Amino acid sequence: MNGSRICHYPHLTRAEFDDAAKHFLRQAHHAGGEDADWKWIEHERVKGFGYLATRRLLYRPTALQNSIDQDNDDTDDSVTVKEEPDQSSIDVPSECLTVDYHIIYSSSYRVPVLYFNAYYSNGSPLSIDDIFSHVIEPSRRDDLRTAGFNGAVSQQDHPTLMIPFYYLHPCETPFLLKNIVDNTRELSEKSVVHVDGYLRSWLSLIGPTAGIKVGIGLFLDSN
Amino acid sequence: MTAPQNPITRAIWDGALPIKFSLDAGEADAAGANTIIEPYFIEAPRCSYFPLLTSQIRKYFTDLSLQFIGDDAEIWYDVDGTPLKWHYPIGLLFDLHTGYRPDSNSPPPLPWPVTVHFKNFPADKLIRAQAIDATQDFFMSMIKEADFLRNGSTKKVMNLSKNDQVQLWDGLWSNSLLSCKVLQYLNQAILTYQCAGDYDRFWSINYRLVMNDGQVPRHIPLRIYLPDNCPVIQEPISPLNEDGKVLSLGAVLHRVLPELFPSPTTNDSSTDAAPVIHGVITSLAVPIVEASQNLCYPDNFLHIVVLLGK
Repeated sequence: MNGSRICHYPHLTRAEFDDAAKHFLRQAHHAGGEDADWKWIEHERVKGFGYLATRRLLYRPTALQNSIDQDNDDTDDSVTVKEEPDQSSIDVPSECLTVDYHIIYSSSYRVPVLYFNAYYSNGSPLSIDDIFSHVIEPSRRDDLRTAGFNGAVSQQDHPTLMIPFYYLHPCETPFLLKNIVDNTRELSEKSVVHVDGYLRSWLSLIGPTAGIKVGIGLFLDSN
Repeated sequence: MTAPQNPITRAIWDGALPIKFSLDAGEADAAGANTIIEPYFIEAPRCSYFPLLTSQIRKYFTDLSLQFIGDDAEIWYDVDGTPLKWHYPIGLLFDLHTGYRPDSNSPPPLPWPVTVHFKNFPADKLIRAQAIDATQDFFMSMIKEADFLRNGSTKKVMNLSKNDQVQLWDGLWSNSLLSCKVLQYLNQAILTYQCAGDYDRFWSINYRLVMNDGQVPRHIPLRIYLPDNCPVIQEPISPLNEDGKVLSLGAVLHRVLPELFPSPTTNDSSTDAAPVIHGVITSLAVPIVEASQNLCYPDNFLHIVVLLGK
């Protein structure tokens, strides 16, 4: 029921990631709402490049770049869970951004990495500056812009699709993950993150930075 | 500072490709060119990147009365309709896109015909470049990733002084600018002197990174490219086998791609897959650590293009 222990926490092997993804999907579907939209996608020909994906709509107040386009010619062909605009801003026209989030295993850093692309309602992609203004959590902007050599958000080829995606650089992820386990009680069962809990914990740490709300539902396990 | 002399890294650093840059025919028409726009020829370092050549290519075409006021980052390149990933080294792109096998009977497709575009940047296919800055960022993040693979942390790179980091990049960049044959008017002696300086500047720093202070790396920074736009294979490869002996390149390829490399020692005639690095079919017997230290690109990765059939 707990899934197996992770051999080299906070690092995962590819097999552990695949296993963790199955647990995560079960929890996400159980949680319902927009979490239920997470799916597992494989490369069409090559095995070992599977990843988790979801599409969210983010409502942002206007005065944004491409302004209002409310009767958008919605090219969205996948299932989406509509997020209602804030009640307080119901009369204010808002720009609706479509954001694709993918959770992808990094074989170099051996942790999951959050990849994302965001589009205006007319289909044009957001530039890096727009990503910082409209997708990245405001309280984290300054940190992320100055982290490392060139900030913690940049573009890279999607490892499976081989097209450009933004991603949150994973080199600090292991340290974050280490901090959430209780180091004072060494190796006691409760101090260890198991495969089944790994991805929801990871997403709750990483996701909010890029606009993913992680609800309590993911943590209310069915079994 | 002088870098340790190594004829292999030196030869790779000096490796160059003649490239023929032609303006996209549609764009030339739209620009109202009433005469044929002559292509531009450069001998470019294999280890360089296209954005480092962009300013001189732009100058050539705008001097021929092409109107272009956009940013250098809007300029992109394609081969046979496929946009070229500017963040890959030029030599890797050549090996990947031409699929040319040096053991074949036909001559290499040189000069390499590349089409230049000043419009319609394919943002859905190519990473948006902020010209040279983005190339430097990408380059440094590859160096950092390589360090992480070797050591499980990026401390070696992050502990480089700002000056050393700059020196790595500047060595690479000025090699691109100066070794291009287009600067023929430069005194040949100055040119040779400058290039030697670039090699030393880059390798005096890079040597510390790739030699890893004499420690066997945990994993080899390695990327394997297969035909047909397959995802790039990048698995953490331990350089040692179960008995603690260093694996050969053949043994690594056999572990990762057993169908293509059924034997770790000989190329199987039924698949005839060949590992091409810097345009050369590399012997399967080379120990993987030595291959990594000597044959890596400046980004510290061993980029291996696997070609099938002659």
